[in-house]
Amino acid sequence: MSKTKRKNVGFKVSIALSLISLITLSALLLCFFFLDTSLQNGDMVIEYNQLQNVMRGDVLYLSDDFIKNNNLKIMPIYSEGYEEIDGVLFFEGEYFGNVYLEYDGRKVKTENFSQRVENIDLYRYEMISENNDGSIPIRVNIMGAVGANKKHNYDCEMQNGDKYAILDDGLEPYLNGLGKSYEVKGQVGKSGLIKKYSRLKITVSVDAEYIKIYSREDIENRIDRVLESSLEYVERYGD
Amino acid sequence: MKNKIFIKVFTGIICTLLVLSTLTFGIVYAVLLNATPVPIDVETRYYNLPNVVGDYGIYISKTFFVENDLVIPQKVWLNNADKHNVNNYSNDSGCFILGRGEYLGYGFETEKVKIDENQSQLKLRGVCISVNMKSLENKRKYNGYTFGTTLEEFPSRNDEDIIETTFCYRVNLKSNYDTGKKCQFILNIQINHFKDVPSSAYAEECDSLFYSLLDNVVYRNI
Repeated sequence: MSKTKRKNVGFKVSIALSLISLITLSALLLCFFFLDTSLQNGDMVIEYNQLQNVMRGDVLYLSDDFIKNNNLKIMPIYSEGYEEIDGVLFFEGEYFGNVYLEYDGRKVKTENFSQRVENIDLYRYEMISENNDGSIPIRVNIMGAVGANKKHNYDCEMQNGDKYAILDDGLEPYLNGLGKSYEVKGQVGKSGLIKKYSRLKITVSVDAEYIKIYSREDIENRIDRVLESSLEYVERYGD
Repeated sequence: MKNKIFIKVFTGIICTLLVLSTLTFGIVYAVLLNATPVPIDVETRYYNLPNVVGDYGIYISKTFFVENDLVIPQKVWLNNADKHNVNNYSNDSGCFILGRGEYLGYGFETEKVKIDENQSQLKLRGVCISVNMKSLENKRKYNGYTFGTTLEEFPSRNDEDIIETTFCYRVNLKSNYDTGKKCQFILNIQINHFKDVPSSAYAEECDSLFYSLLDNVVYRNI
C-alpha cells in the first residue's frame, strides 16, 4: 500500500472515530441536560381530607377512628414551622396543609392534587396527643407507600390476612424521642398475574422531653398499646 | 459521483449540527444550570430537618440532648444551600420548609444546660455533610462504627489562664438503610478549662458524649 493510500485510510478512520465520539458526547450531554432539568424532588403538601382522593387504591390507610379514639390531632404544616414554648405549639408563616406527598417529578401526570394522582412514592403525616387526658403524650407518624420493603420480615399476621412486621423489639431513638414502629403489608390490587402491594408504617413515639418524667416501662407499655390497637384501623380505599 | 457528493454534504451537515447542538447544550448546561451557585442563608427547625435534607444526611434523635443535659437546638442552618437546589423557602425569614434539596448538609450548635455557674463551659457543634468529606485520622472503633479524632488547643483570647480545647470526632455513615449514599458527621466539642488541667482530663467525658450521639443516630422515617 502506498504512503498516500495509507494516509487516506488513516484520515478516514480518524474522521470516523471523531464522529463516533462526537455523537456519544452529544448523546450524553443531551441525556444529562434532560435528566437534570426534569429531576425534581417535588414534595407537596395537601389537606388530609384530599389524601384518599389523590392516592385512591394504590396504598393502605389508617381510618379516622384511630385519630378520634386515641385523642390525636394531625399536625398542620406551616412555611416557618412551629415553636414549642412550655409544651404549647405556636405555628408561624403560611399554612400549606397537613400531609406530605413525596414523588418523583418525572412520573406525576397531573399536579391537580384534589384528583387522583398516579405514581406518587409515598405520603406521610404526623399526629400528636390533642390534650392532656392523664396519659403519656404520644406522637404518631403514618407513612403509606406503594410496594413492600424487601428488607422487612413481615412475619406476623393480622385477622384479615394482611401481614405486618415489628420493626423494633424495644424502644428505639426516633428524631423526636423514643418509639417503636410496625409496618403492615397488604395487597391493594392485581395487574394481570402480578399482585400489587402497599406498606403502611406506623411509628408511635414519646417526645424526648418526657423521657425523664415517665419511666421507660410506662412509656413502652403506652406505645405498645397504641401500636397494637392501630392494626384494627388499617383500611383500604373505599372501606 | 452525485451520491458521493450527497454523502459528503449530508455528513458535513450532520457534523455541523452535532457540533452546534453540543456547544449549545453544553453552554446552557454549564452556564444556566451549573452556574456558580449563589449561596443562600437558609435555616430550618430541628424537627423539619429530614423533610429538607432527606437521604443526604443522618439525624440525631432529640433523646441525645435530653439524656446528656444539652439544650435542644431550635433552628439549624443548611450547608451547600443555593438557589439551584433550594427552591421553596421564605425570603423574609430564611426559613425553608417544603421539598428536599440535593446534597444539602446541616449544622447545629448546643451547650450544656447550665445548672450552676461554676460548671466547665462545654459547647457542641454538629455538622453533617454529604460532599467534600475528609478522611478519618487517628481511627478508633465503637459499636461497629469507625471514627476519627483530632484535638486542638488554643489559649483563650480573653483570659491567658484559660485553654480552649476542641475534641473533633468525624464518622462516615450510610445515610439510608436502603441506599449506598454516604455522609459524614462531625462533632466538635469545645471545652474552656484552666491551663493547669490537662485536656486529657476531659477525653473520657467527650468520648462518652460522642458514643451517646452514635447511639442516637436516626434516619429519615420512611
